[in-house]
Amino acid sequence: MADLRHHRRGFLSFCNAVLLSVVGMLGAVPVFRYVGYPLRRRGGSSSTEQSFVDVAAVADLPLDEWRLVPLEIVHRDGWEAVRRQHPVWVRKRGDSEGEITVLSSVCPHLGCPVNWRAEESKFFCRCHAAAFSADGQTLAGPSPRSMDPLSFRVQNARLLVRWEEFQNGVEKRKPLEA
Amino acid sequence: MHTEVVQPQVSGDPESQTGWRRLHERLFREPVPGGARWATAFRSLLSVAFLAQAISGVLLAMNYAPSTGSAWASVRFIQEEVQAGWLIRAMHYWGSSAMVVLVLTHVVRMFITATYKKPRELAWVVSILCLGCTLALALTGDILPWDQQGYWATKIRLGIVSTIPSVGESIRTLVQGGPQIGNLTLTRFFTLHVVILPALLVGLACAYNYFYKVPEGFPSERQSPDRLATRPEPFWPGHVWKGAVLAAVLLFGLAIWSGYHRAPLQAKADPALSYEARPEWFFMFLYQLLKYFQGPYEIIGTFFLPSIFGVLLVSWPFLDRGRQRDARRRPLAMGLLSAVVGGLAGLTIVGYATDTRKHGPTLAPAKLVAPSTPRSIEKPEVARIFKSECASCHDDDGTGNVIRKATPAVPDFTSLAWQMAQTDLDIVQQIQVGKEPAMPAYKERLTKEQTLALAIYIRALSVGPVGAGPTLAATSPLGERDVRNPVASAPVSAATGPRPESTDRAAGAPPGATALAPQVKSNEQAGKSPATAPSDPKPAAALAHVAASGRPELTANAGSFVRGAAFMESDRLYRTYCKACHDVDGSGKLARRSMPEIPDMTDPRWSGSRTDADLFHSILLGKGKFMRPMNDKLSAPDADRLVAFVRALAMQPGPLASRPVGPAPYSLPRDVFAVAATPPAVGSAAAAPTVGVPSQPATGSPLLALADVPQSSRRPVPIVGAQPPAVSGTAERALVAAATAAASGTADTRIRTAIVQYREFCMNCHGVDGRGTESKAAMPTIPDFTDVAWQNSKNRFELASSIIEGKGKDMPAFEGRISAGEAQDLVAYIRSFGPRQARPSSPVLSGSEFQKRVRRLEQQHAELERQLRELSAGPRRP
Repeated sequence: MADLRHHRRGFLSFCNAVLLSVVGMLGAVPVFRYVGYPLRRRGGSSSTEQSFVDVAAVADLPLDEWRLVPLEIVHRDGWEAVRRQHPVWVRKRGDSEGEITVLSSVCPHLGCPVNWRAEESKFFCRCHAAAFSADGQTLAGPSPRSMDPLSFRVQNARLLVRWEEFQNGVEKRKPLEA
Repeated sequence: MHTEVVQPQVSGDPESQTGWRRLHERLFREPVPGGARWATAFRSLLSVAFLAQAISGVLLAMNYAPSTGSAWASVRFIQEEVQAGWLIRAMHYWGSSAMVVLVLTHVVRMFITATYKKPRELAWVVSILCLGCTLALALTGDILPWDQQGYWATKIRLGIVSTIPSVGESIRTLVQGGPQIGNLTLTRFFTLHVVILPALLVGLACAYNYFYKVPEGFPSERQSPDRLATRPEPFWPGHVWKGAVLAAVLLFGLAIWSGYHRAPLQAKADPALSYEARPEWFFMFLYQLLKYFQGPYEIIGTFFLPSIFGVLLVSWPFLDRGRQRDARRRPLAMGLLSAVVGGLAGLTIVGYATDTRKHGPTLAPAKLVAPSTPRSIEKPEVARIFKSECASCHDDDGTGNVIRKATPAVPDFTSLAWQMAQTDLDIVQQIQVGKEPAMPAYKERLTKEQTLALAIYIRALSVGPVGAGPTLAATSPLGERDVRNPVASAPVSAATGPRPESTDRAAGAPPGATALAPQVKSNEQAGKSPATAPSDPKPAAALAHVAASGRPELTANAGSFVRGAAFMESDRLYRTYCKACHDVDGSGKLARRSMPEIPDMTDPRWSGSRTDADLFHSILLGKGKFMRPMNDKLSAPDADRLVAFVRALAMQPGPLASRPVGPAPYSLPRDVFAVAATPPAVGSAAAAPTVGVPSQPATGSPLLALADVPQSSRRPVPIVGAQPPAVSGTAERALVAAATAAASGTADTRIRTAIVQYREFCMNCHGVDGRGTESKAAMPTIPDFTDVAWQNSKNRFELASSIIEGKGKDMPAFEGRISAGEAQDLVAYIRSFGPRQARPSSPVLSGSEFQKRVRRLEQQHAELERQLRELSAGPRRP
């Protein structure tokens, strides 16, 4: 009799464990899917995130001088589309496409904005003192790679730049999926 | 079998229902082993600090909205609008640091007293987790105000997270809710900070208490078991008293500190605006550590070392298994402790001492928003924005002289005429959406507050020092000072009602206007009198016409209607803006001597060689050396009408003046150059039921000839019309009427009307600049409006009566064409020609005055936005 009761309790405990873990695991599925939404989101980028954006007339750019030009992109930000400006560094040495350089102003180290120091003629990130040469090559500081060049083209005498962000803190340049 | 249930006896004592006595016993009477000691009370201080954070946090959450659009504004609202909001926020802000200090102290104390040793290892582990949880709370709370510091600090932190091998990038995406920091970052951090981490911390605290108490009667700290057993003391009141004293010290200290140090709120986060972020003090050691590991080794400093340190901390009780509890007999542990504490403190100190931010110029000032004042935007900041954003084209002093040569359309902010032609909201609009061809849109670069403040700043550029004007200003009861100082008068206007511009902008062309458009167009093309149609549908029709003609870029421009021009008929437009050079008939022969390129617009060959688009372009953007761009005065529809008008000139050669102008209702008072005295009580010329003589050209010279009235009479010669002699009073009475008339119009309408009237009636003789130099030869007595002596010698009553009644041989009476009220405004405009004293380099506006105006403009802007929303929401609703 007591033995039977013992067995019954053991069986019930086992059932409890199974039932509760099944409920828990089933419940966890939507929870993880819900929380992990940002990881799975794809194809949600708006049109300008992938395309070339008009930033300036080539003629307006000063000769042989780094100029910070804002590039405006519509990002999808959760439930809304937002217009966001990303400044890019542009230098023109001539009017042809080959003589223009476009660098991202995002520091490859940890993503702070990089500034041009004209008096020392180098780029400098004030967050962790990363320094880059006038061509964007790493001079000193913690940056694992040189400044990120952005793809661009010249069309109807206008400069079009494609905004791209790269994984920070790594030596190899790897674009982030937008 | 039958069991009898025995009911326990129920007394009237509420104890049997509530059990409160038992509860009280359990909660308060429980003996604390070893008695009440300050050291034991310290642990309860942690709960008090957490409770304070929870309460202030809940209060903050009542007024906080986590989204990129609203977070910063809501925190600013808490900080500056809500009563005691600044205190609650400061206590929460500094309270987080206090929490970190308390938890750290607790952990260090546990280490020194060897509380982590058997059997309380788990209490130690939980304490370390508590420390981590507290730090995480501080970090997740950092970004919630969505200001520059929080944004950039979080961005760097997440950047560090993303460098963790293989999983870093995914963790970052998961935590920040997407590829960029944005709305989802805020909502996720908010949830972590407000729900998950506090719940976790409460759970950990319970676990700590549990694990601490499980080994019953076990010696705590330095007390022997015997001593513990001999000195038990109930929790209440001795223990609570010590805890309460400590809590009071903590809370009062925190409140006093918060009273003197407000929680910082910097400028709203702007990914495009560079900022030098620094970590909180308790992470400064990591920041410094980062400097020693560069390039590929960085991951050691950012991830491996901290992780190893954390793991060591958690597992310390299992590593140090010695039974010795006396700190003096544990040299190794104490040595490690002092090494770690010294190392962290050293790194922190070196980090602060060598921080370049302290020495070098900061890119974005940390105190962009001065939190100590009730407003978020300050005049020096606006001046800074103006210098950085506007001065490259508009000059530091707002004259725009740098680029005027290349871009003649650049306005001169110091010009009163320009200032009077804009309302504050017009300026705001132009800053936000830009203006063709050269002015960029700043909507995304400047916050609304900055834009509004900038508008006021631009206003102030034309304001001379207070009291600089003639003494007369002080005595004038109405309007005059206002116009001399346009800032004061203009803002009154827009709040009073929906403005036609906004209506047009919101709804596009009004319904029905499209149908009207071709008809109007053909009217004008056929050379019929453009004056015959009623004036109201015209601007709308023109707008619709532009919209229909498939030139979307122009409809955008149509938003910046110049109201004065928009309500003018085409011929009047021509007279006002073109006639001075192109002559009354479009032949341009008078000006040809000085401007040889001027076309003869009556010549069909000239007309045939130009497309409408050419003309349109030349009107708005100017042409050659002399043709000025009119796009600051004319909208696209105006230009379209002018093109039609110019075309008509070529089709119907001959002087414009000879064309019959029908007695259209709108034109009556204006084209009659001398009419019966208008009853001044009516105040407005348009209201006078006059039967005029319409066939006279409204040019300067015939007027002058006809107005040759003896000065002594000081009355215009009544030619036709019923004359109500009873009310046709003196100029003084007219001015009294003007007061009522003036009150009815909004200030900006009046100013624009004055400008248009000046161009129409006065400019021919008095010149664009009011000097009258060109007419000096023919009329030697013509005054120079810029002459301070002349300005001082006349009071505004004299000037107004000169306008209405004429003066001398050459100045005609404008009664009937200019109402008494309009004359007042015209006087104000003429006053604006008066010389200003040398302007100071920065606008003279006291701080409080500046704030007041910004606030007023903010209200107007909000009102306008509300109206716009209503307008755009209405018709779109299905």
